[in-house]
Amino acid sequence: MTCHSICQPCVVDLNTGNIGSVLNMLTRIGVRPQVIVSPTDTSMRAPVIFPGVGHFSHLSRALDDLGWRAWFNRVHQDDLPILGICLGAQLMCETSEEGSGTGLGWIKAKVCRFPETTPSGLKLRIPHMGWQTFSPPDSCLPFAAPAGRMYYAHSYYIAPTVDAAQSPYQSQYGGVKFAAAVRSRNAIGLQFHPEKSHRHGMALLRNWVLWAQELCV
Amino acid sequence: MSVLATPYIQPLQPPTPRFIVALTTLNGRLVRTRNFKTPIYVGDPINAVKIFSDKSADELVLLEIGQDPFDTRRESIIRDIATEAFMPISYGGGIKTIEHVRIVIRSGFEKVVLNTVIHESPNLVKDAANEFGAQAVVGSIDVARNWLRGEHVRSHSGRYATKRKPEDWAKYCEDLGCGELLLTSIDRDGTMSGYDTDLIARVSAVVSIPVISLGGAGAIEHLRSALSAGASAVAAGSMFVFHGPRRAVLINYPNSEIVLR
Repeated sequence: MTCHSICQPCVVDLNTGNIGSVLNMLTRIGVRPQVIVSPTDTSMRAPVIFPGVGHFSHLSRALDDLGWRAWFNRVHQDDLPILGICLGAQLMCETSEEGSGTGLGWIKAKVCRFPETTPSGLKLRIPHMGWQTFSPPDSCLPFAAPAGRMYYAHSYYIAPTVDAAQSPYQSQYGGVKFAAAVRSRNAIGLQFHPEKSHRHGMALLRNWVLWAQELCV
Repeated sequence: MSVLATPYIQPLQPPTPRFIVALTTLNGRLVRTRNFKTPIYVGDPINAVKIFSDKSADELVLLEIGQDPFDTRRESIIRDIATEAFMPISYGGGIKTIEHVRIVIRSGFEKVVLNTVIHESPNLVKDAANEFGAQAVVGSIDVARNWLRGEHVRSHSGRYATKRKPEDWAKYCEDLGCGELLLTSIDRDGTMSGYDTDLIARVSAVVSIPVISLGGAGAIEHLRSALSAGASAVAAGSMFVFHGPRRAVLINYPNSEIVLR
């Protein structure tokens, strides 16, 4: 499967998750997403979207078994744009408390499970499910992201990194700070689901696509 | 394109509770029920989902109550609905196997709602949670009260009574791996007379996953009282679809940020 000719975004399908909603949203914003199911095209220059639902160690194993790990590292090293969503963002980190696998290690962070009680001693309902305002300052992300509500659904979170540049936008649930957006080179990870966040998510994805396509020409 | 020296940290704010639209279909036709009975045809589900998506509804749950098998016709309805929903959306009804779960999730739904199958083959909850994460599996619990059995859980869209008590069943669903519970009072369904807040309080006290209350919402005060009883999210059906004392069909969705803050 090639996608380099027209620079349409490629959606990575590790056959473990929900790529339907990402494809639906991309189609709605007027791009023609390509689905890549195996890392055969090693010279591809196109925006890459890595959506993920499921289990950290399952996806980590799929990275190794199918040869995706080297493919992702090459794309990352070449400074090509990658957008990780939810578990896709968590896979950019080093390790996770959800199983034993290793991530891609671009973000120097650990993925942790939300504690059962808040720092102030209240019961914390897990997963964190719901809407939070995302309003990044201008210099936070390399593309414009207008302020708006975004949808979160996760039991594990990316701990803020020591290097602030890697977790430029942090949010909180029950008093626990977590990275809502992470960045390493041109790889961006989002903990929330822009593909399920109405017009705000749509605007963010559209802006990412425009920025990402420019990097690929 | 410089990056901030210090991260932007969003101030701590209590998340706005989700205000969820619950739509019921009978073999693919949108209906409203009362006490899970007397379905009234109110329209086309694809169109309704599109309207709620355009109105930026927080989330939508679609429940199929018909007894038709999970076949290709149903698959195509599921796909058509998913393409109109740019919000979190869940599907329940007739899901029996992991293959059904995959069809629903791959179409673009975030979550599956499981009810009867938890009584028949509870391992499906584990399999689905392993493959798609706990956040993708909603355990649905339908509760009724009567003079013979007292308060009990019912399966098969309310047709069969079980001996389970709601609190015990809720805990069991959580232990199996459900990431969320949809707690429905059959007695309040379609009445718009208020949630069973006592039931909500008891169930949400025994689990640590979010509990969504459904059945009885007719006014904003009802939503607030369910949340103070312990619900993490509130769902309603008739309230969004019926308007006025004559229950005229009119789709509306109040702004949840104004209503529930």
